[in-house]
Amino acid sequence: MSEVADRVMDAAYDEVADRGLVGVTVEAVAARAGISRATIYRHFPGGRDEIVDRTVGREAERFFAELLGATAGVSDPVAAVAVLVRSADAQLRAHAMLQRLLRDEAEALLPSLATFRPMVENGLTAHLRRVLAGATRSPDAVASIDEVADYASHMILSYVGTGGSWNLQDPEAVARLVDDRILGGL
Amino acid sequence: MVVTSDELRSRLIDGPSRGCSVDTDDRLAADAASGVARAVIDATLDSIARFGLSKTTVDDIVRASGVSRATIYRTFPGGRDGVVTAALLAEVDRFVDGLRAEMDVAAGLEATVTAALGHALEFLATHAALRAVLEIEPGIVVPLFAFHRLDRVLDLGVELLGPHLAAYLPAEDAASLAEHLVRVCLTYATAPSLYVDPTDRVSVRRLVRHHILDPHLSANPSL
Repeated sequence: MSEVADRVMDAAYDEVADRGLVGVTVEAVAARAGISRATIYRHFPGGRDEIVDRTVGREAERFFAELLGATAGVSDPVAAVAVLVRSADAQLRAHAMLQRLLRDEAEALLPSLATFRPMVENGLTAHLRRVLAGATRSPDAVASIDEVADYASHMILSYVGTGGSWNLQDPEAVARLVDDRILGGL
Repeated sequence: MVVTSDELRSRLIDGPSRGCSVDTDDRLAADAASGVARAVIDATLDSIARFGLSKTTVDDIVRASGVSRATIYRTFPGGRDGVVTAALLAEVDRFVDGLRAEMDVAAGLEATVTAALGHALEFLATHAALRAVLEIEPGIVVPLFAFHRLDRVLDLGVELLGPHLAAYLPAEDAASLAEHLVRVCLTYATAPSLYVDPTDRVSVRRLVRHHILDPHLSANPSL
């Protein structure tokens, strides 16, 4: 990723922090980044919308990198999924910008989230397939690892960062959630 | 949003208030009126399916239903929003009636869960107006369920499903499973999977048997 693109996205991020999503314009980003509009349009031909999309995308990439990092050292597949759930939930809750936007400007954020949802789903499913590849199966297991990963991915994305009755920072609760609600097919 | 979550909750749990009509003339009049109402509601849903919610006008509904503007406004006070609200509530009724009917005749935990989930998934997957709104104007629907706002929907689900599940599980487990089923329903309604065909009960039963209920059934095979 080019240095210019990174600086543009940093500036966009800071603009959102100060003025919210609706305040983000190419002019404001250019002024904050100290980069000309022409240069910005060269890197982001789609203008303001593309800047927002790719800034969101960069956050999604960071989210993933953190998830992969958290599970890297965990050899037991079921334990790895538990670590993944805790990391994902913690990251979503701690992401001040995300929480603020969801509270104040959900409608403005949605198009970008909709663009990245399939990417996040596919990435998570692929990662789960790798993690679960060597898992011990129960004797009457019927579903393939692909199918288990697909269901796990759907349910993890439903549970993390949302409300409901589960405290996902409690390791015991997460272990139960993983056994009962995420890896039931294993 | 045209309907508050309290109104929706009351609708889901208590059902619409139905007046009692004994006199034949009144009953005939009520039938005629409800026939007109049904035509207008169907026309509204049809228009939303074609144009989306924001772009649906009363003119569209007049054209699709053959019912006059005056009659529409008389039957559904509140103008366009009144008609749309009525259509939404009618669909909620249809959903809940169907759900309860299916769960009432299901015997055993697996059959009950399969019936509930199968009904919900199929309803959401095949609902033309809903699919159109999700595609054209996701900003209208998705915020209702996103992140912390999911709690309200989960509570409604627990109230609807909990009593049926409690026939087979301790109350706490019934509530937890009900919450989970709402999540399953929402996630598969918005993110399709190669492994789950929402219109095929065999596919849904597979999901229920091997992924959702497996832990419950392993613990208690008699369910």
